[in-house]
Amino acid sequence: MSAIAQYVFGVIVLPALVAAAIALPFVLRPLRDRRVLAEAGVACALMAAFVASFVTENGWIPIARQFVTIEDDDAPFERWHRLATIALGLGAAAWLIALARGGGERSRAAVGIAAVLLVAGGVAAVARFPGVTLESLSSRVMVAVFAVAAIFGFAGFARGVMMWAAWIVFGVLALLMQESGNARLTVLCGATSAASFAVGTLLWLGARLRAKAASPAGAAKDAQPHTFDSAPRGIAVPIVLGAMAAVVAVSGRAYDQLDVPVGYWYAAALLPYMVLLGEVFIRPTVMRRRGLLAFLAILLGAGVLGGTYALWRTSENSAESAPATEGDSLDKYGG
Amino acid sequence: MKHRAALVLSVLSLASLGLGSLAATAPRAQDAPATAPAAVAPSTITLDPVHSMAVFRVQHLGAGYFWGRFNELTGTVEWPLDDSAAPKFDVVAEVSKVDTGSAKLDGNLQGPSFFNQAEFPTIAFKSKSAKKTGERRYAVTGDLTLRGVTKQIEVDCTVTGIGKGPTGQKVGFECAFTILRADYGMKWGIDAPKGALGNEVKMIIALEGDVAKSKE
Repeated sequence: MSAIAQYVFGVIVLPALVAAAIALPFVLRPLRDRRVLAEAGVACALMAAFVASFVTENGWIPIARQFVTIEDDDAPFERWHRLATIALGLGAAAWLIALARGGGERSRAAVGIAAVLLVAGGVAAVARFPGVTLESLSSRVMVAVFAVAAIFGFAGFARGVMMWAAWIVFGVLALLMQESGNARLTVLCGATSAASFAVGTLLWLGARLRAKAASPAGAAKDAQPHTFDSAPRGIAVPIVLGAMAAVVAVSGRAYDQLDVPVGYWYAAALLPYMVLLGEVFIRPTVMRRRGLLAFLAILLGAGVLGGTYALWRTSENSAESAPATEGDSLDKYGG
Repeated sequence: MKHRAALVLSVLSLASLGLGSLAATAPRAQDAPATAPAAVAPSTITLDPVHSMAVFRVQHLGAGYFWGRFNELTGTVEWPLDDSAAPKFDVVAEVSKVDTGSAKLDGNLQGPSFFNQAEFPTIAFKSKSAKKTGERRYAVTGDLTLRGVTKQIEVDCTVTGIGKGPTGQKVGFECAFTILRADYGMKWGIDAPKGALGNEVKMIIALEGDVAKSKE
């Protein structure tokens, strides 16, 4: 295997396989039927992919030095290393959220809202990056609001296509990272995107197998209303995905050295809202139930982002390479 | 009358001969007996950013060597113009001034994988001691701070010349050293992806500065 292939396998493919391995028990019985465990397990699996990619790329020390002093460690702390800590925190939070929502309908709604606000506030407090930034209270409030919006996008509009939406969102973020000259975060986003695809595939296969195994008479009872994606119900998965997408977008913007327009970072994390746009043309119930339509709407949004970005970048490059015409100071020397 | 004229001429001739021999035997400055020169206080040389830069070289994919540059170095050098003491350097390079000829590559180098400009916007060298290794040549020991990591290095420095410009006296220096970038936390491309970029980085620093005018 070439060095590049080894590298890609180590930082993207292997973390995705790790996520799939963690998610697998929660796709199969008996854990699949324990909704709390399935919800938390899948959310944890996705964050495990991010952390696994981070550790492959940078080692454990950048995470450990945030909590303890390590002997002979003279490297400084870099603020983007907090992303790994945030991923670990979100993975742990997923369990708490899933367990806390085990009660009745009313308490589930209250816990859900509280969880969204706490997680958004938590990531805004921790995600202190240079540039954009987050040294001021107003900036942190902005990040918290952005995180809430991203969470709502996943929870409200990406229902039924959760894993595929995450696949696209983190894939677009990976491309933006690449465009901004950030190789480290490119692979981290790539790993999360690949993990979402792997876990989504696993969940979909699990649902298909269950549908086949169910008797024809009882097939309707066991079949999911939208078999395109069978992510566990509950708020833990969208909270984790939305918060992580938001904070990754903010960090991408903070470390951007090649001036990717600000709007693209925010638009990438908010791509699930394209389902809302799709509902303008197709009935909301149809849109959200037919997972494939929602997925296509999000994919269309990614395509529009990519197309407009490519046009903008082409025009920027043309402007930079345009030859000097009028006002060339050398003209005054004749010749 | 004739005798008087002859006498005057003789006197004049003798006088001119005497003056000529005196001129021939008068001690010239360079023939003056050698004495220890008076110690000259170090001059503060303020670096001219337009004429001060650093180039660096790193191996790419185990094949060719890739060169890049930091433009517009700033800082000062303390050095007596009679070379009676070693220069003392206090030089800063801005990561934002990295120049590889490719804007995209500049952006990559400024990103978190390499120099991480957002968190470590400058690279600095401050000398601590030096030993003379030749005429206007020194092995300077000092602290290099790169990416937030400070390590002691030895730099081979040469005073390249003292000149005169429109604004006054100018002094030039050229320094060279080699570092391992992994020592400064810049590990991308060494082990992962393996061999993409070399660990060893050679640097050549060209400095030119204006000698501060002495206060009357």
